[in-house]
Amino acid sequence: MIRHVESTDTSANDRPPVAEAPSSDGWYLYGITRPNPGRSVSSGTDLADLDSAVAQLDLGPDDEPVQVLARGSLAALVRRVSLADFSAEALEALLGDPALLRSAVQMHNDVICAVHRQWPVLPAKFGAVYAHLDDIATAIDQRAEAMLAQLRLLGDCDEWAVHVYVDRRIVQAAIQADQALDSAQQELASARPGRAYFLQRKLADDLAARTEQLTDETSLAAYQRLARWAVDGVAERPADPSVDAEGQAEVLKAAYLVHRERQDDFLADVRAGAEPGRAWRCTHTGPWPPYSFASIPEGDGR
Amino acid sequence: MTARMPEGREVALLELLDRIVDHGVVIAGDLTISVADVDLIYLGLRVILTSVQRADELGMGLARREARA
Repeated sequence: MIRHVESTDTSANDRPPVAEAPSSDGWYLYGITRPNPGRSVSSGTDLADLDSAVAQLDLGPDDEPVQVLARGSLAALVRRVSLADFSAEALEALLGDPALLRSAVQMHNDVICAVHRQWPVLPAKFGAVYAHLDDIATAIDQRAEAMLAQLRLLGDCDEWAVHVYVDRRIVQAAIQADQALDSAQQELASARPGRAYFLQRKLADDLAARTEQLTDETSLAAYQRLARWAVDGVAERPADPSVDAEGQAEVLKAAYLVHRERQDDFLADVRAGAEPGRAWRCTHTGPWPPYSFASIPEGDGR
Repeated sequence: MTARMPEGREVALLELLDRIVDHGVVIAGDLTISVADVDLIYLGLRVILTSVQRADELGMGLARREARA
């Protein structure tokens, strides 16, 4: 069941106010979307498609519906929640219970995905709860232009998560073929014991540095190759690298914002990374809503 | 532990957390939120869910527990 909900401040949409949630309740914000480009959301008809998109979601045992808060040409997806569920103690319990945590993040993702399939969406930060609808309405009114600009950028785009793994066997083979390394090994073989000790240490250091450099170059090349198809991209070294089925460590964790018209080219290149003989391989998941690319410039409309 | 992707495939919970935790917009900046309760609620979340690194640690813990089960 979907209901439209309105803040007590109805200046942005000419509809009568409805009752706020009890003070023990708050409003969870999932995201902001633009149901109809170029005009205000002024009637239930305008929101019918948006309603039906989230109507099929399984929202758990309390059956509290996701509601649509229309403000100008924007609409916020909100859901009434008990503030007690967002106390420090409740949040600690959430993080300590895998089933609860999965349910919470899955619900957040499900709502945003349901919108993202048909409309551009600015996902809200996970766990953003407001005491009053007016807080959300005011924030949207104050930053509407910035939000609309961001939604235009994200339109018809998906986020793809890519994990890049460098094949260290190929990297090692490339280093072994290096002539400078070859001459260093020859010098080591003919050196006296004392000098050999230091040459051995220097050679080990050089090998490690060269391996790291070549790994970085390879992962950068992989990132840039995939970035050709993307509107935007972000990457970081994994703090705790995972290991793929081939036993190779992850060297880069990237997210790309890809327009759907270029999705096939992008995915073809992603899959090419898995071909035998390449120095890098990658795994991917998606399409995701643009979690890594949703932002509102600071100082705009505030 | 897995979760559903938009098109029905399953992904690890860690991947889901990686996408969601510490991403997304805050439509009212921390200092502009006028209701103290909201500030406190959000502060509480930020302390606990500060980064993907935190989620990584949590994911590893879950994986280990599942492996023992």
